[in-house]
Amino acid sequence: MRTLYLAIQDLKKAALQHRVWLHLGWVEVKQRYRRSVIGPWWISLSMLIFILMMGIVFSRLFHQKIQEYIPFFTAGFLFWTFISTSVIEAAEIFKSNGGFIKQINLPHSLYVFKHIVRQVICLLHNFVVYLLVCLVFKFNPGFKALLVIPGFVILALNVYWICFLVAILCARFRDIVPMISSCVQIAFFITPISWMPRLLDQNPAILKLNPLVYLLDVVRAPLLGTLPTEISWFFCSVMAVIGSIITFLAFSLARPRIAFWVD
Amino acid sequence: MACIEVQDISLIYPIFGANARSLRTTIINMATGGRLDKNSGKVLVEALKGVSFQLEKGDRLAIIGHNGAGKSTLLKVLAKIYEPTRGSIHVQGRVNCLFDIMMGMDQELNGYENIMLRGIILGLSKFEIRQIIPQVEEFSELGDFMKMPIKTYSAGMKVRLAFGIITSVASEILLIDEIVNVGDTRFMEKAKQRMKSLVHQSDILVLSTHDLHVVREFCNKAIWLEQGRVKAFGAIEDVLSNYK
Repeated sequence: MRTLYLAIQDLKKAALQHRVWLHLGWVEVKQRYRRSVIGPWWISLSMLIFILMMGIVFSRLFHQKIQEYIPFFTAGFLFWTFISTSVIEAAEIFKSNGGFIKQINLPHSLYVFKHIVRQVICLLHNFVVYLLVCLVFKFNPGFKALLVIPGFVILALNVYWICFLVAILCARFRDIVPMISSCVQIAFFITPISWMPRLLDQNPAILKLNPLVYLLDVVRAPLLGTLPTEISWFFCSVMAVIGSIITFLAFSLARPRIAFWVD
Repeated sequence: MACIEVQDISLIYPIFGANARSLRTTIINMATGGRLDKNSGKVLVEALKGVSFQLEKGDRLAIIGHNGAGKSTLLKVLAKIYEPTRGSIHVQGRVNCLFDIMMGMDQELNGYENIMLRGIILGLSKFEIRQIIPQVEEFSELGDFMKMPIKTYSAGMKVRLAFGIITSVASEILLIDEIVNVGDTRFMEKAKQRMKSLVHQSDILVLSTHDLHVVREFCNKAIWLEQGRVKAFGAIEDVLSNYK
């Protein structure tokens, strides 16, 4: 009981200290791109070039119209980048903050919040690529696009618990780190990001059983001017609840030990 | 009212060998019912054993003992960085830790940005941070260097800045791990004065050090640790007379 209470206290303290993680997240982004002229826009620029190249090749490969394929790929790839970099970099959350963890009594969940802040800042930069693509291909998703906001909230909740769980497991078991990055790599190809789901036969298991399909649907569909399916919303909400409970229990057990795992 | 109550605390922590942290070892251990555990390279260290003491306002405690006696571990338990495996600890009052004074300093940021960064980490508001800036400027004597990234500073300059920042924060309980060497002799004297006024402002001081001159100068109580156990606790002279 007491371990659960202390874990709640940790989360509560982190929520109250939002100034700390917002500032630290921002400083980390700035630090990475200091002395570079276009700074964080580098990620967006490379994403733009990647999307154009992939668009030219893959639209022909799959016999799709380029003005339809590129917005589809952009919207999906934008959020895929957010999910994949969040999860891959989550492996190092506690290790890279070891200097803090060993020196100052800040709640551990604060480092996960800081991590998410940094990823959201990158996502916002990349979002400009989507706007550019819309302009160039005269693609107008209409007001349905606003549904991306609630969609993103539910996606972010899921990414938060996944990152938290990955961070705990990777702090304890160092060989989960490479395992995570290979899983993420495979996930890119089995998820409809670069290929459209309609290219497959009717509802194959790869679409039905892949949680990423639902996570992407709630944010990508609005950007393409369509509505996410109810199943996607339902699945993402259930996943957020169950995942958070599992992560919370894992965190309750790991919390007092994390300080010993980071060196 | 600031106070510290430590009751019968013990701290056991694992030290991982090269392969102890791998998933394989854990799975093998599960499959074999943990019989291979002694081969996994996991060593348990009992850093503190049944430590108890109480401090109240006005107490200046020195933690003394040989290397590896558990001095730093005890300080980190008081700072709530490590959680004891057994026993209870109650700390009342705002705590300021002077452990690794360079913690959280960002090499790419300039002096002012580092004051802001460190201030936020320590939980100060923007208003409070702006108030300590003149103090830090005055103490660190960095002048125009304050506008330069701190990676251009010499080691001594960095320490002066960091020391200036952390000693500007008032707190009820002050935890110090070794008094730092701050640059040249003249500066050392200045740092000492500043440290004294900081200690004077705080209600409780806990200091871990090997330097008995410093102990006599700053403290009125001492706790002597040996292999994680309390060998002696009490008034400074009583403890020191048996020590050495």
